[in-house]
Amino acid sequence: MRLDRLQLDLRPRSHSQALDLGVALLRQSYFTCYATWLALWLPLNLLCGLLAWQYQDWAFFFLVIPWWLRPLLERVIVLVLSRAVFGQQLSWWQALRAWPKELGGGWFRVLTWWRLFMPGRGLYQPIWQLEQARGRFAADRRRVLGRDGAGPAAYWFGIACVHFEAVLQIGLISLIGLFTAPPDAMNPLWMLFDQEIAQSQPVFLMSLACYAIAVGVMAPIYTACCFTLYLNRRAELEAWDIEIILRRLAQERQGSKSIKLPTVGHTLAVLLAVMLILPQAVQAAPQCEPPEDKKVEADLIARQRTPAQSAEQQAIRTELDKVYTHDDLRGYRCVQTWTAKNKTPKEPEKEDKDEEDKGKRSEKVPDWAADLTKAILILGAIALVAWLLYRYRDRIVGAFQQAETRKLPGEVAGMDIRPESLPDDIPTAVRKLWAEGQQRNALGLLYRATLSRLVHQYALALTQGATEGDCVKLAQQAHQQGELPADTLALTQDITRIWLAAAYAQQWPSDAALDSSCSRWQQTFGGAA
Amino acid sequence: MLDGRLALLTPEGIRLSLTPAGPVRRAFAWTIDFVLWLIAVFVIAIAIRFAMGDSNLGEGLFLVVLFLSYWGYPILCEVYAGGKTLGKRWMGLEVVREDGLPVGWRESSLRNLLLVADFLPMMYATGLLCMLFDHRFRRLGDLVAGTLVIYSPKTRARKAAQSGEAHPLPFPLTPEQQRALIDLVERAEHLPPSRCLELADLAEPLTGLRGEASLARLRAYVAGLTR
Repeated sequence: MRLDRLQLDLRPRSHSQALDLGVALLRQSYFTCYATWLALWLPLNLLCGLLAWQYQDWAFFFLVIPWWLRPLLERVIVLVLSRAVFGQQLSWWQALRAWPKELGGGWFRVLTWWRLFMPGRGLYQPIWQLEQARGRFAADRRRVLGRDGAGPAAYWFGIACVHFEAVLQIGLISLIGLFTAPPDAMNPLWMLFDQEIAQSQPVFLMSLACYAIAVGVMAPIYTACCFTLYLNRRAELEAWDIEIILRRLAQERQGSKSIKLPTVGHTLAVLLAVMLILPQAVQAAPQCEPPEDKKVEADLIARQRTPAQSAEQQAIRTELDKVYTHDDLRGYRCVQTWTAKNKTPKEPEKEDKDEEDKGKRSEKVPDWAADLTKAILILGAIALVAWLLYRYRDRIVGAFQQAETRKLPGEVAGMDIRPESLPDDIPTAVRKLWAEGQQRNALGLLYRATLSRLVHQYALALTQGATEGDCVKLAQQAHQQGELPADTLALTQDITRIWLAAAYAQQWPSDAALDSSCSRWQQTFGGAA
Repeated sequence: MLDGRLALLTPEGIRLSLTPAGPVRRAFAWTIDFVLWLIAVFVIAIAIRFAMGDSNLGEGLFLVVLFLSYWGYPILCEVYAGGKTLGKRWMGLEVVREDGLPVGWRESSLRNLLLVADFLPMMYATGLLCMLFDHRFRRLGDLVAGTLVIYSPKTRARKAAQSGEAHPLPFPLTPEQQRALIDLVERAEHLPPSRCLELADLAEPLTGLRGEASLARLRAYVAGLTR
């Protein structure tokens, strides 16, 4: 056993998580598992089904055989998985050939009282099969493995799986029932409730086939999950996870750096192929009885005809009749439509019954109370809808508004450009800040005001995430389209340059440069907001 | 390596691991919920009968309660009780969104309404098959709503620090290796003694010793690590 080749991460985990791991393990080698399992399971069922059909007096006996032998067949799945878990992939044929050798040990127990009372057998099968334990030693091993709740976990898992098999079987039967039901049947399981049909041979064999399919799907899952529970239990009892790390550490110290644990290359995707067998489209026109008046007409023509005078005339008449039966000439059309199966609902009878019921009812609560409650519930439902509309009014109204007006951004490049956030007289405010020595604030205000005017006066489509460069680019585009005067563009470019130099390089403009910018700003955008 | 866990990486670089729960555990949780619901409905039916007798109002009220409790119970539980109905709480399961966030009204309503689809053709056969084929055990409702049923994360109680004299490690170990050493010492009492010595021998490159002496040295390392 080479633990460093193990494909599972066996840290201590809860039993149900260990059981779930089995589905992932099975998914990795699903083809071999299902191929080997079905190669044993389906022929056995087929054989027993045929025998049951042939010897009907012994039918029950033949039907029990597949159920009874199932634990021995499951061993082939354990065989495949026990190799796969260490990275060795058997072919399904190899696994089938090796299967008879796996049958020794525990078969008597598994086939007799355990078959009935031990749904958790999957946890213990590997003890006989993989550890080759027998007799008293095997009993000890079973006791140790089943401790700490592992035994009950496997037991309840087995019970759940039996129910899952029943669910799949009944699901399949009712799927067939849904499509074969007579028009009046409401129950998809109608076949099993009709005494006569349920005991008929085809239904009997069909439910056997559904059982074979259900167990065919579930048995590998049951076995794989119990097997991972077994592995996890052993790993926990024998500290496999620690051994793996210690071995790796030892290898590293020996200088051999080329440790490659086999990793799972890829998880094979299980494809659920849903075969939709579409009914062949009916090519020929639908056939139907001619309507009553046409029948009368045809009858009339036939009676008025004198007997044919010659074979030639007879031939022409047949030819004519044939031509007149053509869809275009016969004077009526055949159309397929859907109609309700039960056209006459049994309403009147029901009403009578209701009346009777009413008569019988006690007068503890008067009927008007029921009507009142009904009205309250209906009003409540209306109020709920109204409240929901009111609660989400913003979204509902917003959905209509958004298309009409584009929302102007309140912030560009992290700066607030709403007009109301700016002072009335920008150049004066800027000069005042500059004189107070707040150079950065002064330039920031100037730049902010510029952007604000571009957005609100010239409707430049600045977005919230736009950078300074983006703003200049947009201004240039607007100028090219004739939406922005040249001097405004020039001023924007100058102010952007001054702002960038100040903000990112701490290079402040001279007092004169600022003053001239302010004056130009005044001319271009006007002083007051 | 097959692990059964799902790793999510948050924008902060924190790795969260979720363990999706398989059909068997979920079936048990469903059974518990269903039985509890049946009992509750039975009690309510008797109460209504007792209070109102055989009347139109009683019949109507019972139908309303039946409807609201059947569809409301799982949704309310999942939204307000951390994604757990009573059955799920008992079984240690919870419903979360695929990104690990708690479920909201939208997800919970969707996944519970689609129980109808999972029920088809009979007794949740579609839901069962879907769970078995999906690698995260999602049924149709989970696929549509983008939710997962996971084992509620439990924090394993660390044992108290190893007492005794501490010994420094001879060379640095990765966190994984350090954790393995701590695990070994913590689990040593549950392991057969012979197996413990076998593991201690395996640790020879680390301790430079064999057998009992190696095990004692490992204990000293762990005392240093857990202090």
